[in-house]
Order: sequence, then C-alpha cells, then structure tokens
Amino acid sequence: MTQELNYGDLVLVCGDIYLGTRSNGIPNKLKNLLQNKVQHLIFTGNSGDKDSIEWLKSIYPTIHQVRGQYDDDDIPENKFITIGTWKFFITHGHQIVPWGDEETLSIYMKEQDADIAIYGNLHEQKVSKLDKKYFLSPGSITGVYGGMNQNIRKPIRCISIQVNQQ
Amino acid sequence: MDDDQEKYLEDARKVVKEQAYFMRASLDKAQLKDALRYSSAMLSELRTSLLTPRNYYMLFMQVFDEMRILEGYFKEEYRRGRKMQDLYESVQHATYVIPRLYLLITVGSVFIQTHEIGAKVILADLIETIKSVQHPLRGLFIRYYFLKMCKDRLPDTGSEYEGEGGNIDDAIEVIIRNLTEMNKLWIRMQGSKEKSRRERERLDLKVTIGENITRLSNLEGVSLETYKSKVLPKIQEIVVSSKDVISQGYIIDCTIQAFPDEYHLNTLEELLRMCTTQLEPNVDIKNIFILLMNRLAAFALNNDMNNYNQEIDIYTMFKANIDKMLDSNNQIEFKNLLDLQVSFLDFTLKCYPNKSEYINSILKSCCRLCQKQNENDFTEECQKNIVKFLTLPLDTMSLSILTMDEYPNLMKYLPFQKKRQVAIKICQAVVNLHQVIHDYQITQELLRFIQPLLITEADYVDIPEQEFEEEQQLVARLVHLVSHQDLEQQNRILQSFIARFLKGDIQRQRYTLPASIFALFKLIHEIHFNNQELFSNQQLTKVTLFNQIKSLIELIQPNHPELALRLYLNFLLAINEVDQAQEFNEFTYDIGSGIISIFQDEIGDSNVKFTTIHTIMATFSKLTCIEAENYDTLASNATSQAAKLLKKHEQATGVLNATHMFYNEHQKIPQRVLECFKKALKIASSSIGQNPKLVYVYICILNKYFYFAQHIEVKEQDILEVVKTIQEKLPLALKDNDDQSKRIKIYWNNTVEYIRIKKKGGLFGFANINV
Repeated sequence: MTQELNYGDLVLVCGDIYLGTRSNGIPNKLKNLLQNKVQHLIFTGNSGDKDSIEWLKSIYPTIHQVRGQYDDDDIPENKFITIGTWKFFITHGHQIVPWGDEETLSIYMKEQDADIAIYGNLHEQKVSKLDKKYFLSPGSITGVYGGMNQNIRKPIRCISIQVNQQ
Repeated sequence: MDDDQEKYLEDARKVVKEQAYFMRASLDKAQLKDALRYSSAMLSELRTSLLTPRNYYMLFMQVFDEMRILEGYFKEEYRRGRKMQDLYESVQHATYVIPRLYLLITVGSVFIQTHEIGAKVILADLIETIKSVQHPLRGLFIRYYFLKMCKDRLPDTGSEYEGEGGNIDDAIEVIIRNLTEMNKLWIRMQGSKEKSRRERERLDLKVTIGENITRLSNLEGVSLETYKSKVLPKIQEIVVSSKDVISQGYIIDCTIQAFPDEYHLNTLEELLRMCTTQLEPNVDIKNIFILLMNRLAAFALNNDMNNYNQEIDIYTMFKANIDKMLDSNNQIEFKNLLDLQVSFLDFTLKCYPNKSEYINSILKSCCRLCQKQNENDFTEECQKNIVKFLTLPLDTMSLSILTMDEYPNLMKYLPFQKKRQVAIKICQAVVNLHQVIHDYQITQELLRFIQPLLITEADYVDIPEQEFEEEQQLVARLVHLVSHQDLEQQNRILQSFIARFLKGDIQRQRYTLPASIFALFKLIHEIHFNNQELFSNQQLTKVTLFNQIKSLIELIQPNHPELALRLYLNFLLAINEVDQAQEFNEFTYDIGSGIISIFQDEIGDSNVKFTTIHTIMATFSKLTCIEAENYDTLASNATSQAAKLLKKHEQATGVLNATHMFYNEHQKIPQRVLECFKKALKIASSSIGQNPKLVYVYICILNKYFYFAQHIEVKEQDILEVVKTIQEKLPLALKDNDDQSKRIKIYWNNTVEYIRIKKKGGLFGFANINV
C-alpha cells in the first residue's frame, strides 16, 4: 500500500519569472499550492526582481539555479546535478545554438553523462525524448511575452522521480 | 521616606503573620473565642494610617488570604450545628470598628450560604454597617473586601439565592450602592494638595473600583434589556454626578471593556451623548471614542453590521459627535484629534467597506482640521498619522481612493520622505491586489501620487541604493498591470507612463524603460494576433512603435550597453514576429549591425563575450524578416566576431556554432556551413600543439559533423580525419588526470557509445568509423 503511494522525491521545475521587467507578480495560489510539497527546486533563470528568489526560497530553500540572459553574471551558466540515480543537465538555453534543439542539447549532455536536460528560454512547455535522453522545458511561470511560441501560457512543471529506478 | 514605608510594611506584615499563626493554632484546638481574638488583632493592622495606598493593598492581600481560613472554619461550625445567628452577633463584640466589620462580612458571607435568611437581607445589613467607615483608604478596602466576599452570594437570575433571597434587581442594587460609595471615597482620596502624587495613588487602586463593574457584567441576569434600562442609567448617574475627571474616564473605560459589543451598539446614542456633553472638560473623550471604535471595528469583522444599521445609523452618530469635537474644542491637541480621525477612518473602513462617500467625508473633515493648523503643528507624529490616513483605505479600496477629491489635499501637508512612503504604499496595494490599470483618468491620478518615485524634484532626499532599486522595481511592476480590451486605450495609458518615465533620470530609467519596452512588445504582439487593422491607426503604426522602442533603448545604451544589447536582441525577435513581408528590412538590418557594434566595442569581459555572441547567433538564426544579402552580412559579421574571441577553444567552438546560422529551418547554405567547419579546424589545429586539451574542440567538431551529416553532404574523409586526430591526441590530453581530463574522457566515451549505436542501426556514414 505504502509502496504504491510513494512517488519518491518531488522536483519542481520552473523558470523565466521576469518579475518587474515583464510581469507584475506571481499568482498567490501557486504559492499555497507548492509550499512544503517539494524536495528539490530547479530554476532555469531570469528571475527579474530579488522578490522572485525570495518567493522560490519560500517554496524550498535550496535552488538549483542557472543564469538567464537577464540575470547577473555571478550565477552559473550550466549545472550538472544528480537526484537519486538521475543525472540532470540544467541550462537556461539562450546561449545554446540553436534554441531548444534536442540533438544539440544531447551533445552537451554527453560531457557529463546526463540523462535529463532541463532548459528554458522558449517560454514553452515541452517534454521530448531522443535516444533514451529526456528533454524538459517548463516554460515561463508568469506566462510572459518573449518566447518563440505564439501562445502565452503559464505552465509550471513538477516531475516526480522514483529514486531507485533507472 | 521610602525606607520608612518599607519598615512600616515589614512590621505590619510580621504582626499579621504572627497573629495568623496563633489564630490557626486556636482553630486547630477548636477554641473559637481565642481564634476570634487573634484574628481581631490581625485585622487591627488594617487600621493603620502609616502606609501608602499601594502598600496598604499588599497588606490587605496578606490579610485576605488568612481570612479565607477563618471563613472555612465558620462553614465547618455551621455544619457542626452552631447557629449562624449567634456567630453573627458574637463577632460584633470586637473592640475596634475595622476588625469588627471584616469579621461581620466574613460571617455574613457564610450566613448567606445557609439559606436561613434571604440573601438580600444580610447584604443590606452589611452595606448599612460598613457605611460607618468613611476614611477614604480604609473605607475603599473594606468595601472591596465586601465585594469579593459576596462574589457568588448574590441573588442573580438562576442562582440558588434567587426567590426569597431576592432577585436580579436586588443584586444590581447591592453592587451599584457599593460602587457609588467606593467612588465617593476614591474621589475624596484626591484631596487638595500634592495633586500628581494623589492622582498616581488613586490610579494604583483603580482595579478595586473596576471590580464592581466586572461583577455587574458577570451577572447572568443582566441581559441587553436589563443593561439598557437599569444598569447603564445607574452607571451614568454615578459618572455624571461625580464630576471627577479620573473617575469619569476610568468608569466609562471599564464599562466599555466589560460589557459585550452588542450592548454598546444598542446604547450608542446615550453613551456618545454622555461622553460629549456631560463629562468634565479634561476627560480624554478621544480615548474613549477610540476604544469604542476599535472594539466595534473588530466586532464588525466577525459580524454583519447590517443587523444593527437598520435602526441606528452608527456612522452618522459617530461622525456628528466627532465633528463636534473637531470644531468646538480647541483644547484637544492636533495630534490627538488626528489619532481620533485615524481610528474613525479605520472603523468606517471595516464596518462600511463599500461606502466611499463616508471615506471622502472623513477625508474632508481631516483636511478642514489640517487647514486650521500652523506649519509647525505638523510634527513627526502628526505626519505619521496623515500617512496612515492616506494608506489605510488602500487595502480595501485600492485605486478608487485616488478619485477622492480630498486625497491630494492631504498629501501636500507631508514632507518628501512621507510622500514617498505613501507613494510606495499605493504601488504596493495596486501590485499586491493585481489591480488591472485600465482607466485613463485614474492613471493620471496614480502618476500624480507616485510622482515622488518617478521624478527627482527640488525636495528630493537621497535613499540607500537597495531601497531605491526596490522602489523602482515596484514602479516597473505597475506597467505590467496596464491592460484594456481596446488596445488603443491600452496604448494610451501605456504612453502616459512612458511620458512620465522619460522625465526621470537614467538611474530610474534603467528599471522603468525595460518594463515599458516589453509592454510595447506585448502590445505589438497582441495587435498582430488580435486586431491587425489597428496597425493603420496613427498612434499604432509599426513605424511609430518601432521608432519609439528604438529611441527608448538608445536612452539606456550609453550607461548600460549590455542591457541595451539584450533589449535589441529581443527587439529583433519582436519585429520578426510581425514582419514576414520584410517591410522593415533595412531598419532591422541596422539594429542587427548596431548589436554587432555594441558587442565589439562595449563588451569587455571574455566570459560575457562568449555567451553573448552565442545568444546573438541564436537570435540571428531565427530571423526571417531580413533579406538574404543583409542576412548574410550579419551572420558573417557574427562569425568573425566569434573568431576573434579571447581563447582559442572559445574561437573554435564559437565558429563551430555559427554553422547554425547558415543551416536551419529558414536558411540552407551548406557552403557557409562547411566554411565554418574549415575555420574551426584551422584554429584547433594551429593550437593543439601547445594545448593538448584542445582535443575537446575536436570532439565537439565531430559531434557537429554527425549533426549536419544528416542534412548536408559531409565528406566521410573529413570525419575520419577528425577521428584520427582525436585518437592521436587523446592520451596526451588525459595524461594528468585532472578535472578537465575527466570531463574530456566522459565526453569521448559517450561519443564513442553514440557512434556504436548509430553503426549498429546501420546509419549512413557511420559504417567506416572504427573507434
């Protein structure tokens, strides 16, 4: 019974908040929904005002954050992290030519054996797979203008990972 | 003097302790007569005139505790069959009045419990007898003792003493009489000399008076009706006839605190009339009002005020009385009147959340009040109150407060720092409530009120950098709340903001203009997808909007070239979205060239250069709004910039990534792609001698070959060359086994794995690769 209900660790993946520069605020309902529910937080970049980092920290105190093109220079460009047995490659993606291209992303992933790539920049929610590698884009949590996609939506992504499975 | 007091108190306490000890010993031996004698001696200490009221109180409490024991014994006696009547008589033999009366009260309390005689008879008798103690301090305490002893012996409704022993009226009568007497004595304590000391002493004892009111409020039988018809009028009588400032203020305060808010709502008129017309001039009526309004405001949060408003218009009642105070009484300090107004405003906001005319009316009286003052009267405290005045309504009324005519009138009484505070609170309220800004008039008002944040005027005061940043970011957020179904209106409002922003200096524009630029991008996007005809409107032509955006970015460029560059990149994409016809080909080309110039001249840091050139290349590769020739120029320029990067591996990989500009969903120029590969290989080969770790670049090149091999013709020979070079140089690169080596190793292993899989799948081109 408990085995079935155990979803493993919950990872929140989100990005491109642009607080202040392109959006006025994050909906309050999101905060209530997400607080104390996740064990990891991956943020693809472009926070905007400092308030957005505070908001993220209130969801979970440790953020795996990478630099968006409008972020400060002291944030890392890319990050490789491991959660359970899964290896992640995290990048904002504005500096990867071409944007959102799975093959190009998998070349970067080869450098550190990553299984899953998480990227932003396109403000588009997308999950794809290529040759046993997975690619995830959470889009923009505030649904701001700026991606390549015509539709402005506000998706966030929550992946659930069972720790011992490959 | 104080040392003497300490000594007196110590001595008295010692005696009490001693006599109490003997008293208890006698009780243990059932020697009542002796016990009474010792208790009498103990109680005699309360005859003292040496102690200050506060010290007398302490002594009293000690005696009180000891008397509990005696009381318990009396109860036992009754159970053993002794007649209470006899006891009642025998304690009256005590020599001195004070001990006699304390004992009498104690027995009386037990007597009542026997139900042998009606409660009211005994109570009446006791009250009569204690009348004889007229010394203010001692009289006060004996009546306090009486009150405490009668606590549960009153003929309250539903109590065991009701019926023959009396009813609620009798109970009320007893307490009221006691209160009346105690109050008289309390007032007499004032005397005529040493005013402030006496006042302090009186206040030390105020709880003894207050206990009467608490007792009244605890009576079950005091319903709303009873309170209204019997209790309040009697309290009123006591208050008014006392003509004593401390007394009046304190008793009213107690009454408001002790009884439920519903009772007050139903007797509001009498209460307010009493407060404003029947009290001594120095009584702090304002505090009473504030107390009352705060309680009612809290009450309103949990209860529907409409139930009460039907019969009595509470707001009008308060307003009439408060206005009277504002106009007539010059003695009340300006600051205190403001306190009152703030309380009233808070109360009105909570009880009448929808009545904006009430709010405006209160604002008006506040303005009238301020007008009467001199400049010097506006102290820090007063200013704080005015700020409160202006910001309290924001949470419930948000932007509509700005339409009240009196609002700006109040702002002018504030110095810059406080105006700024109000402006920030306004922005916060709007942002936190996610208020949509869609009214042109209100926007003008809003901009007027937040002016301290927008423009540096003569009275500006510097603030710390972080605060300034937060403030400007708050303003930026406002822009994104501008929204209107009619996009022309939306633009009109947006332009109001931009016009104001242009009047600020570059430190502000650094925050406000990017927000405006993105709002304009969004506007263009919305027109394009929802209502393209609007592009023909004079204010909304693409030319107008594009030129405006360009001029805004140009303002930022001198001080923040990096930011300007990024904005230009976004600009390219914005144009790209709406200009498939390539109408603005030259314009867009200029922007692109501008970007290259900024990159070349203004970006210094090599790491920043590396990521920036990639962002540029990625952006360029998405453009379809530029004619082929112009595109080729831009792309080639970007490629040459990549070739000029600081480090060799950066140059090589930069040029390698340039390939995507020449081959993607829109462009298909295989020749240029191969040129890039050639260049990359040249750079790599020229330097790999000095730096074996550059084999990393070769692995990148190899992977890129695989990428393009599916789309363009790549010579198998070239691929094999690269493989050969890697295999040759790899051992040297991995020799020192540092972090970089480890990465190269993983990279190469994964590439090998990739080749193996592709070979197995029989993919063209991989057949001859042997690793």
